[in-house]
Amino acid sequence: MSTYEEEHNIQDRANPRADDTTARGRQHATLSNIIDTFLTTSGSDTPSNAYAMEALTSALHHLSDADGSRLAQTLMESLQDSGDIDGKRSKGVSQEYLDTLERVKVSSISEDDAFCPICTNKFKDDKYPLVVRLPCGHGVNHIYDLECVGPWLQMNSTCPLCRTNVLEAEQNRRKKIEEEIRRAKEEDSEEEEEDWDVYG
Amino acid sequence: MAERRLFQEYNRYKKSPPSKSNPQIISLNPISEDNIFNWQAIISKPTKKDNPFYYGGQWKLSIAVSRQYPLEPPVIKFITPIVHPNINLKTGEICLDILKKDAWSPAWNLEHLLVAILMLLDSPEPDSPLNIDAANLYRHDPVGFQSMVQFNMWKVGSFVDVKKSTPTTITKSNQVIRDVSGSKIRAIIA
Repeated sequence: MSTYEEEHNIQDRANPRADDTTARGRQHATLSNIIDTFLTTSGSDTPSNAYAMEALTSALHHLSDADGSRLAQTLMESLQDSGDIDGKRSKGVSQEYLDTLERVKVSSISEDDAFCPICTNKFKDDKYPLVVRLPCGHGVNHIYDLECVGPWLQMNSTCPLCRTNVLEAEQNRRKKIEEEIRRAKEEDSEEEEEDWDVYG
Repeated sequence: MAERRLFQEYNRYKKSPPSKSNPQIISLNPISEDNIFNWQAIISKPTKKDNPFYYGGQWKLSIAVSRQYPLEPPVIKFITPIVHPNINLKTGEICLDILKKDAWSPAWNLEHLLVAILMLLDSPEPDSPLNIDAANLYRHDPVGFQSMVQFNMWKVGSFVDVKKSTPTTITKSNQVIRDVSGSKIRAIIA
């Protein structure tokens, strides 16, 4: 009996690439989802982004070859420029980081006319507010609409109000917690040793 | 987002003009209400107390805001020519870190930028000059620099009428502003 692959004159993609566990699903990309990945993951060095970038560049290349379009060329150059910048210093934070930012309930904000420093809209005027607090430390309360501070943090990982690098702040916070845990553990084990002295 | 935020700023400036809190800012408004992305501003240094070099002067600035504002800084240029170490005499381009993407913050607004530019007039930074001659003069011969600044202000006619106006009473009627392209300047130079 002939297999599906033979009938359709295609190679069995599942078997030869069995070890390739990543992204075996939908390989071909439509222009719209290339643009989509390009826009949403711009700034992060994910492979899919590199792939989208390549696809866009080659599409533009075709365009400029076909009718010598200047626009395509300029687009290509700007694409490369932005690629270089992203490659050299991707200073922004990842989408995952944004998802883990501390959410703030609008009802818990004491000031009635507190507003987002970026869009300057009052938090309470927003029907569906999604407010986050940045981990700036030093006892400040820097809160923003996630919608506003998200795109900024993806370009630049500093708090717009105090320039604290939120990535570093987060790292320091984690280090502190780890240290505390370690210290607590050490104390525990010391106590245990003492116990041994007494009872051993 | 840019449009909404700009209209909010505009409404706030209409309600409480920046000139109230800072008399050195004479005006700040969109050139026409049809296009909220192109603004103009007039700043001044009315008396010698305000600034030892630029006293008696006032300057017009153009502010071009991008659609990415406030994630990207606006582009601000001097329309009135000014002799300053960090400002290009011909193009009016300003060398100020917070006007660049790296040091800009989306929590700032147009009024903040004008305040920053007024402070740049007070403390030029000759170590990163756009106008090298002005920077050298400023560094080695402050008195000469002052004369140069004042001479240029006279040449382009960018004076505030100090006798008629004190810092708090400058009105639009007694401003004398002439652009680089203005015929009035040519008349003076000729």
